[in-house]
Amino acid sequence: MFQYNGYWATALFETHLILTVITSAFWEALLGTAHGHPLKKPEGAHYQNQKGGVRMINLSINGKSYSYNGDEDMPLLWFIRENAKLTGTKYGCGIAQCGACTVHLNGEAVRSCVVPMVDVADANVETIENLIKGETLHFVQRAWIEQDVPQCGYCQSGQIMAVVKFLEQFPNPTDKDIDNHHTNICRCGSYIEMRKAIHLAATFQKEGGQ
Amino acid sequence: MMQSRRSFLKSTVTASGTLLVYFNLGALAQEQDVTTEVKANPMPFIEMDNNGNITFISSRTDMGQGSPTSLAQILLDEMDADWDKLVHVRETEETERSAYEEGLSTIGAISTIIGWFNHRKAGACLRGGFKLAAASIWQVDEKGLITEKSKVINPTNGEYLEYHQLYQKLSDLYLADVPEFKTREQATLVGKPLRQLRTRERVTGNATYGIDVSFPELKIGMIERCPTFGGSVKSFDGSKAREIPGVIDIFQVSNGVAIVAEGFWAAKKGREALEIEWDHGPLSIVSSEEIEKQLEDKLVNPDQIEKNEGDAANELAKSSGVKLSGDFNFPFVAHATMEPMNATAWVTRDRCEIWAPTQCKLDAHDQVAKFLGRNRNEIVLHRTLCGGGFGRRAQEDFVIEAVEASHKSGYPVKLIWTREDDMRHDYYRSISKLQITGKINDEGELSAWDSKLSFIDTSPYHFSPQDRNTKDGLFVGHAGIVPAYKIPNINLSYGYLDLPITVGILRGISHGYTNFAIEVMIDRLAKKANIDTLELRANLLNENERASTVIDTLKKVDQENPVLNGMGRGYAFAYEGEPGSVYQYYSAHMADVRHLDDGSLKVHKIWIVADHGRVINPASFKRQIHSSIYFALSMMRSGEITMTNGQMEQSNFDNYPVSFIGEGAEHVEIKLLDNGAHPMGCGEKMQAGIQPAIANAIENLTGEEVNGIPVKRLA
Ligand code: FES
Ligand code: FES
Repeated sequence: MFQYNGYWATALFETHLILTVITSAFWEALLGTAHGHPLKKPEGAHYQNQKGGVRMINLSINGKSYSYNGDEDMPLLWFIRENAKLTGTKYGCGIAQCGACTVHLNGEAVRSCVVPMVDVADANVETIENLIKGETLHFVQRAWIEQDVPQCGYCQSGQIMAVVKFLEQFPNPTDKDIDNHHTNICRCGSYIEMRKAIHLAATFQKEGGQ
Repeated sequence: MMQSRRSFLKSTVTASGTLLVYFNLGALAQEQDVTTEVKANPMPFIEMDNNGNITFISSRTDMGQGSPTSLAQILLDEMDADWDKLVHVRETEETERSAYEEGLSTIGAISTIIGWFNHRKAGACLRGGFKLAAASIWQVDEKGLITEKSKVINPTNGEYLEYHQLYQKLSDLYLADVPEFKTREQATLVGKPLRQLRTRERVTGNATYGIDVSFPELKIGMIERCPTFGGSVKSFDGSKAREIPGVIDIFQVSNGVAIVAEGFWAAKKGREALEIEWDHGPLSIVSSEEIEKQLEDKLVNPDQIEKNEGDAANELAKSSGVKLSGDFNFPFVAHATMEPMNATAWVTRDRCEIWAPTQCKLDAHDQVAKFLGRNRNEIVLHRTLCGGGFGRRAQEDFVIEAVEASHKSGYPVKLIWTREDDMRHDYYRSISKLQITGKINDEGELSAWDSKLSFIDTSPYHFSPQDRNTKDGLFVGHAGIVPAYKIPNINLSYGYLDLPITVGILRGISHGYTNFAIEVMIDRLAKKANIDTLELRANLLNENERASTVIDTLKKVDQENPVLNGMGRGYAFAYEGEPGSVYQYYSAHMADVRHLDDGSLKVHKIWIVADHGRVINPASFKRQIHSSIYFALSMMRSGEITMTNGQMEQSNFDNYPVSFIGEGAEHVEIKLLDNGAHPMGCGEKMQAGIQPAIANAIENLTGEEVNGIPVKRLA
């Protein structure tokens, strides 16, 4: 914890501050933090230099294959929203502060607004749209409905994607665990209902729910 | 069903057998007041298909505050419809101002207030209609029939007809305009903690906000606005920006230089490559400190006397009693809605279609028509879901920008504001100052009150175009300076600065600062006079029954919860409206604050007693209070926008942090008095009382004055 502008920040908040300063140190900065979700540098990321030096980046989103050969610095978020047309993943800040853009990248929760396309070659991306299996909601979604968490709802895709991974790490979360490691912003302040939903989801998880 | 011009409802049955029912308010208004320009333009509010499935058509913006659910509850309860048959909710596509009161605006907690008139009446009319329809089929007196879960039942023989079997019959009937309402005891949905209508969409990523609008031809727009308020473009060079792949067009617009590109990233990169020379304008040498000095001066030289009764100066000059002065400062505050501003527009030679997350649909529509110099009916405006509103989306600026970008480029454009744009070009809650001097005389009465306020003139930017540059437009800057308390000698004045800084409404209007100062002063005065602060408030409010009831209720809560060791406790009262009006609410707030080991201050618990009349959905109401506590704490802790050389310094959540999950109150307890008075929404109304209660608790804990916000030690 450290103080920034008279404001107590959590570990991840701190991480992201560093992040915004040292973009190149992105994955290193995430590594080893309590809530950080390190991306393993994708094995066998074969960037093929096309004519004119444009690399073709192949990736999978929700099990579907995509290719991309545009600006490598473009954040994954915009590929998801504009190219793959999956708009459940939201833009809130663009600097890894709010978590509205959280997706699962090779099984880890990341803030897709700061993940450049160059880092997702051959990666496996899952978005909120893929959480539901057929008609069966994910247990975190069920808990969210049970507690009727959403207000405007804009942050909730990101909240849910973050909590799915949080609960893998903290299957029996305490309130403190939630305070320290669930760092997605909800401007509507749906947090009281959300906290109950996280605990409820933990019990669903133990019961072995999808 | 409605032959009479004066009918409240109107309905049609489509070829597929769907019943569509409209409010016919325009017709009513026209007869009552021939001077208004309203047209008899009916607005659909419910659709029932031939299986009885219901689509609720939301007249109010859905930005998380829960109005559509509450309105559907009012309507379906009163018409005795089956809630389980409510399968869909959609936004109204209404385009005419005349259709509905308040121009379909979603502001000021009016949705419930007006819904209690219109949706309730519509429900009762329909229920009566279905009964009449069944009675005519069965050839019985409709008075003997009952309704339940979308059925008309004849209790004598158990026969029933479902509502959807009666649509055709309904069309031939004349419905009562003065229907019979259900009693409170008969309510089946009103007062129930029902789930919000769009929850499933919102947890599956399927809810579509303004920023999600998408179709094949759509391009992405961005505007580089002058960082200095009141500045303008001198010249620009877009040649470097044009080299960025994906950039399509660059051109000057009213608010700066626009860029149109294939996608967000190309637009952003292109925008970064723009070379613009700005004329920074007169504010380029003005900073927050300078504004504060000018505000200080306005306290001494006010523009308006709001109220002057008795002789406050004389009473304050007397040496008897206890006298205190307080100075309060409030910075600019930004909305930071989770979804940044955006709108999509497609302007062609003869048509303009818009998709916008707006709180004031018809105002925006009007302003677009004006901007383009076209007829309203050549413009279609679809309202989308909003990722938060808090008053920011009551302005139409972001809609006009999209229209201009599409108009000038010829492309359909989704104009997106980055978070930085959103925070640096907001319609801020104005920076303000208050100076209050009060006196408690030897009899323990609040005998004098002198209050001076200054802020930035809000009227040029008022969300409602017809109030711009009028005295009414100033109201959002000084509302709430009149205390509800009995004070024989009172002088209230205010002054305002004419500055080109966009200021507006933010989860309520000025009550956030006016009531803060009032309630902190009341607590200080009571303490200095050795009077119990709740007792003092109760005495000063004893002529207003609803107000004193909330205070009395809080007194009981206070007694039942003794202050724990190491805690400071504070209280505050908040209200709006006057006895007799439907627009009334009263709330009493109590906060306990303690020190954390690191010296920061933690809100341990907040109790809120609220009388907002009859409660439509208690779960929704409480959710809004929970939300308000986090919002109030965000603002109190770090809601500070500062200006240097005419430019706002904060730009994103890293330097304008908002509450995380652990940054609320540790405990919350809510008592809704639910006393049967006309219902009033809650979304924005709690902001007036939470902060001063916390401020008073901090003063009691630390002995230090809290003279406004931010309070950076808040955890
Ligand atoms: S948009 Fe990615 S963290 Fe905010
Ligand atoms: S529900 Fe609106 S931001 Fe979280």
